[in-house]
Amino acid sequence: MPVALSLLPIYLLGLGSFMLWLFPKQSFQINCKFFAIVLSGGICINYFLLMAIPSLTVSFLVGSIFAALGLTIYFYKRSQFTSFGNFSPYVAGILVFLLLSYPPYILFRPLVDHDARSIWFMHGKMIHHLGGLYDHRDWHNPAHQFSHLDYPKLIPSLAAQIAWLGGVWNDFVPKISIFVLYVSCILAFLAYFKNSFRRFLYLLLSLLAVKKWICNGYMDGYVAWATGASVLALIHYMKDQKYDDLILFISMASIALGLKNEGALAILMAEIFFIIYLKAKWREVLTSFKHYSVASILPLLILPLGFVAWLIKKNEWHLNNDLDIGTRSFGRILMRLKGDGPALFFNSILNDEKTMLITFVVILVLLGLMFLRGIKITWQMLTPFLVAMAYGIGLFCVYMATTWDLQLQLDTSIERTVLILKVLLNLSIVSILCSSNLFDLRKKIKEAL
Amino acid sequence: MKFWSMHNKKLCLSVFIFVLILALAELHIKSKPPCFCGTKFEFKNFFSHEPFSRQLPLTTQKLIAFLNDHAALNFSYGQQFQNNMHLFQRLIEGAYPITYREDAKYLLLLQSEFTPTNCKEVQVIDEVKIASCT
Repeated sequence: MPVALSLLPIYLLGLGSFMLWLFPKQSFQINCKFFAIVLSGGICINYFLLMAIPSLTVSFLVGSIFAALGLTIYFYKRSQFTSFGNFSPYVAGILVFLLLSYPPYILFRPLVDHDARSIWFMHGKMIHHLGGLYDHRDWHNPAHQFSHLDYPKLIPSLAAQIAWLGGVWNDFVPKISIFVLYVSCILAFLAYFKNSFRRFLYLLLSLLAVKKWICNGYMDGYVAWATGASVLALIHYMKDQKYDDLILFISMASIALGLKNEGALAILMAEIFFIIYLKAKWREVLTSFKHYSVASILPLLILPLGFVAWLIKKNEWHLNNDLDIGTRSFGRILMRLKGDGPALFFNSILNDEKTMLITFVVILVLLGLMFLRGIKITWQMLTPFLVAMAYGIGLFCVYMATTWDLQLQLDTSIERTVLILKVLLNLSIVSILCSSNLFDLRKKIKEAL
Repeated sequence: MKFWSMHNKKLCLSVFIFVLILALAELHIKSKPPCFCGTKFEFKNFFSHEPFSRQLPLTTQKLIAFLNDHAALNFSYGQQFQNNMHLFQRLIEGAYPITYREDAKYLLLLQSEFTPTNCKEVQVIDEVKIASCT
């Protein structure tokens, strides 16, 4: 069994490498960003295969062929990837620390928490025992309806595949899927680390913001991380218009979309700001795209296909969300807005999320200072904050539209749904500090000495 | 000396902001207990083939053991049993792939529930009675 499971990283990296033959002909450094792109790309392609192919066995076999091709492509094109970039011992040390700190709690703690056991790994167990996602007889069983069967299936399907590969479903082996997600998110964060204390601070703040939600089997911490990592890649793309930043943005966004519905809301907001950016800077973007072949666009379209496939399947099977979001929601939103809905929502935030509010005030102070000092506020400084605000407004509307008792809904979920907001606000602070020379400590100290 | 004699307002502002961020980080740590407390590692069970999770409530474990022993493929339950979310949800999750079916042979009822005439009580496990139906 351990031998079969040891194939998993090779399989996922191979699948991710399959995209390499579509990449533009430019040299890529083998660093955290490269591994983050390959691993997250592998996760996304694997998700699509699991959604598109009826059987776990066949999807793994097809995936293995693609993975073998991907590894061949990597070795064939290895001259393009020879440089070991900024994979410094400093970054490696932090990577080793992160790989040793949380993972024991992810892997060796049994499934005990509600959503992990009753939703994510319950769905995984169903996919594992049914041998794939196409056999949907149990998805309509009235006894299973408490399990929110409409939720995205990235982790359940990966967990089912891992259990199939390991030959056992228990409380531990399927959790390797969470570990895979953990590694891809950490790599995506470290991709932009570059030995900077402020970037380390972001990593630390993001880790602290999600705390227990990354090792208890819930998806909330990971959806916050994946959203944070995708927005981090997006702001770097806005700065330099590099292809690898764009592909990392799309792959981490696709992971966030496949994890939880909140991820879809946050990524929708990020995409809106991305489109606004493209409209504003279309000349620069077009110039950067001139260096790419048409094939280079394909990975950008392939990566979110798993999410699209699940949307189609979900509609086909009539798996509806219990929040009943749609045109019918407007009536409920208006009713709650007239009532005590906003008061309940903001009370809940004020009582439970004081640190997030302080972060919000700090950002406003920073932006105010920059405005007063006449410092240009750039796209990359503002985007995480705007995405966070748009997500916050979206979240407020979803709570106002809930079919459940609002207070109960807030009590049971607000702590988790604001994680994305926390991570994005932390990212806002760091992007402002990193982008503005006003706060460049190192430069100031050098000048002073 | 040169460093401090600068009276650099910008530098002071930067330091202030960093201290504020560190204070925020500290608040994050103190606001709620981290996940590490109260968890137990189970290294030796990592690859174990267990018919059901040992994390389930004891009654649920006994019910699943009964269904496994009797090679049941599905089961049914009474309304009061379904209303007991703790028992109902844990059984549905833990017993899978043994699933609910309306016409299943085994019917799970709470002690207070009436046993239908076409069913015969075969075993009582804690507050649950199991009936075999024709």
